[in-house]
Order: sequence, then structure tokens, then C-alpha cells
Amino acid sequence: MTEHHPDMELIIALAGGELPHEEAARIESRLGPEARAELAAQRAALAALGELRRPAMSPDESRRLRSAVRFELGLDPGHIHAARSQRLPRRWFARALPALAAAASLVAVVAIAVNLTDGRLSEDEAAATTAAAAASEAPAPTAAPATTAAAGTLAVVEPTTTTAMAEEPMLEEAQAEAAAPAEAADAVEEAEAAMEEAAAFAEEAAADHTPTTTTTVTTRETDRSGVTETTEPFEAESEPDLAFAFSTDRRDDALLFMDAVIAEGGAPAIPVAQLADRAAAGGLACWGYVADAANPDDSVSFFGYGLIDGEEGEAYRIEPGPSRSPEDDDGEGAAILLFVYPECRPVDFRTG
Amino acid sequence: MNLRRTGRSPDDLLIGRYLAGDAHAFDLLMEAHERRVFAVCLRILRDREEALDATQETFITVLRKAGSFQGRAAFSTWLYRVAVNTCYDQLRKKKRRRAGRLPEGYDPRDTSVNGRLEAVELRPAIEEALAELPEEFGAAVVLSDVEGLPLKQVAEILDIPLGTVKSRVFRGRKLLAAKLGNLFDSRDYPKGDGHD
Repeated sequence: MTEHHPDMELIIALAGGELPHEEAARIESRLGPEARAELAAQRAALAALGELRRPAMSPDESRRLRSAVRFELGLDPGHIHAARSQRLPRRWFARALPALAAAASLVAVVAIAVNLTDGRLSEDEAAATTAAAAASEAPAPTAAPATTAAAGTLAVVEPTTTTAMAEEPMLEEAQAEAAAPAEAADAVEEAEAAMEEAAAFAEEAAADHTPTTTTTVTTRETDRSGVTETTEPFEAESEPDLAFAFSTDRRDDALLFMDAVIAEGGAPAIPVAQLADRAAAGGLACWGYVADAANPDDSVSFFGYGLIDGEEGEAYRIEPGPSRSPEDDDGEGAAILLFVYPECRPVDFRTG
Repeated sequence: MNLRRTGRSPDDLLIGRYLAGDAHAFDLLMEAHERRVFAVCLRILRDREEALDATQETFITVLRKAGSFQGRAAFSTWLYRVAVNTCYDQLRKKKRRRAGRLPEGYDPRDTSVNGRLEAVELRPAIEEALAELPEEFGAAVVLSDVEGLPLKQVAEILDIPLGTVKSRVFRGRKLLAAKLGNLFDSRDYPKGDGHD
């Protein structure tokens, strides 16, 4: 083909408008009749194809598609909902608690058995004890919600859900766990007393692992006449109109960085209402959380992916939207929000 | 406090998060790509339901194998390669079933059947000419000229050299222009069979 059309690449470039205008005109004026005809055909085809509109996928088709894919992959829509609503990372000891509870229940069951038999177990009793302990170990994470203390408050942690999204072996594991017998739940109930002891131990252990950086949330009332701020631990289902206060052991560095980003500007700001489409086109990961954090009439600029204190995340700038007058601005200008993966956990907020 | 680029694309990050069990990443991946994959499938298959089936099969295939994604090529390149292959597999199966005949019960006055056949109601003549292109030309033209992907990425998707892509795009456009010229008898479209 190329042999028959030595000017093919040139004609493609001319038809596609890839060359500077003057250069294209100069080259075109030197083309022979055959090459001109080729160029005309290329342009005609491109013009015709340009008439085509990208076929749209209806919301219903999109819903059906995702539902079918989820079904085929074994992804429970309930899991997805749960994962969306759960924005806080599960702390170290929250993840470890089911295992601790299982271990505690094992100790408790064995201890009870030993007490009852005064240290002497028959073969049958020993087998029953082992079976009960095994039952309590395996399905504990999915059998019931685990109650745990996070950020100084008691919160109910959903049964492990996100693992079901992973690769097939993990999926099968999760399904096997979900299909575990009901006695597993009983075993967990039996272990409740032991869990108190385990939780105390876990709290102690967690204190050793708690990072020096702490995240709190400052909830702002939307009433513009008087802004009341209360600082409280961040919870998964906070009010959408919120801002994040931040304390860090490197606060000075953090503030300098934030100031630099705020001063930098440059990235195009778009209304939050349009963020979803832009985010989908750009593959942005934390847009939903940003949209929640920003007021509906604010604009958001995406600043980039990066490492935030060693963790992968994204940075966004929020600024007053077109419908907000300076008088409505509460004296605050742009704000920067930093999120880290995998939960799009907000780690910093700075207004300027 | 520092913020620096990681060098990973958003798709890479989302795949990583999906594999790590982040359910939200699934929706983000779908949102980012489903419309374009569907559009490519619809251009090739010309039937919405079949295009939806192909899109579904594409995502299932890709997400099932996401663990083996090495990141050597862009995720979207891999995704569209699977999509194109899935569509042409479907086309080949359909051709074997129908042997090129119109569906049974086809009646041009029956708008429900007609709607399926037209698939994309806009510019049906152009759509028809596009659909009549030989498979290898059609895929290159759809990806390059309809979807606007760079020729280099089209080469990666179709797993052929860049020069071959250029040749296929060039010849595909020429064939298309000839078909439209014959159809419309217009000076805007050169007549002929489009062959060299």
C-alpha cells in the first residue's frame, strides 16, 4: 500500500490538519492530480464521519450494564453502597478486632471447658471444643457487625465488605465466608464477654499505633448570618456541608504548602454540578467526596495526583462559585482539600 | 507535607484500588469508560442490545483479568482491544447465524425492527457505509476518525504496526468516500470502488 501511495502519510497529515497552515498550503499547491484526488477523498470521508454523533448510553442502559457486570463478577450492590457510605479508614485495631475477638472466644471457650472439667477433657468434649473454636474463628468478620472504638467514640463497623470486590480467589473466599453456618454468629455472641477484655487490650495496643496526625471535622452551619463551628470526630455520614480542620505534627509545612497551592491557581475551576462528568472523563478518583465537601454553587479545580505525607492521594481547590457574592463569602476565599487513597480520606483543609 | 506526582495514571490507580477491594473504584472505572466502549461497540455492531452485550462482556473480561494487568500499556488501550475483539467475535458469530440475510420478519414499515437495524438513527447512510467497510479498515477508521484516538493508540489496540494503521485508515476513508459518492452522486464524494 505504501509503495503505491508514497504520499500517504503526507496526505493523512494534510487531511487531518496536522501541519501548520502555511506549510500545508505550500505542500498542497505542489500536489499532482492523483494526490489531490486522494486528499479530496480523505477530506470527504473525514467530513462525513465528523457528521456522526457519538451514540449516547441512556441512564437505564448504564444501570443495566453495571448491574449485569456486577452480577457476573459476583459484586453485591449492597457492598458497593456500604463502601460508598463508609469514608473513614478502618483503624488498625478495627481491622484486627474480629481476629482478636475470635482469639478471645477461643481462650474463653477453652477456659470454660477446662473449668467445667477441672482440667480434664474427655475426647468428645475436646473435639466439640475445638469445633466450636474453629467455627468462631472463620466467619467472625462477616457474621455480625463488630463494635469498635474509633477516634474516641464507639462506632459500628460494617462487616468486611470491600474484599468482595477483589480478584476471584478473594471473591470466592468472601463468598465462602458469607455462606458460613449460623453457629458462627452464635459463637461470636458467646464471645461478647470475652470481647470486652479484647477491646480493652486492643485500645491499649491501638494507642501505641495511633499516628501523631489526627483528623477532625469542623461542621459549619449553612446559615450565612452566623457561622457556628463545632469540632468533633469525623464520622462516615457527616453532613454534606462541611469542612475539615486539621492538626499535624508538621503543621507549619502543611500550611506553607497549602498557601502555595492556593496562590498558584491556574487550573480551570468548574462548577461542582459539572464535576461528575469531568471527573468521569478524567478518571478522577475522589470527586464524589469533593462534591460532598464543597457547597453546590462552589467551583472545584483538580490539582493532581500525588503523595501526601507518603500516601497516594489527590488535591483539589474549592473556590466560591459564580452565584456567591463576596458578602456571602464568610470572609473565606479558596480552600484546598487533600484526600488520600484508598478511601479518599480527607486529610487536610485550608482556606486562604 | 509534600505533594508530588506519582507517575501513575488515574486508571492505574483505580485498578489498584479496585483490586484492593474498593467498591467505589468499580463505579469510577465504569463511568470513565463505559460510554466510549459502548460507542465503539455500537459503531461496529450497529445494534444497541448487541452493543450492550459486547460492552458487558468487555468489562467482565477486563475486570476478571485486572489482576494480571501489568500497566505496560494504558488500561484504556487494553480495554478497547478487548472491546474490538469481542465485537468482531460477535459479528463473526452473527454472520454465521444469519449468513448475511436480514432478520426474519424484517419489514421496513415496522419501526421497532427498523429501529434496531438502524441502530444509530443519525446519518444512516454514513453509518451504513461505515458498517460496510471491511473489518480491518472499519475498526481502524472507527477508532481513529470516529472516536478520535491517536493513531499510535489505535495501533496498540489493534496490535498492528503504526504504518499498517495509517494504511488501513487511509484506505478505509477512501472506500468510505467512494461508497458515499456512489450513494449520493454528489461532487462532494468521489465516485468509484475505492480500490487502488
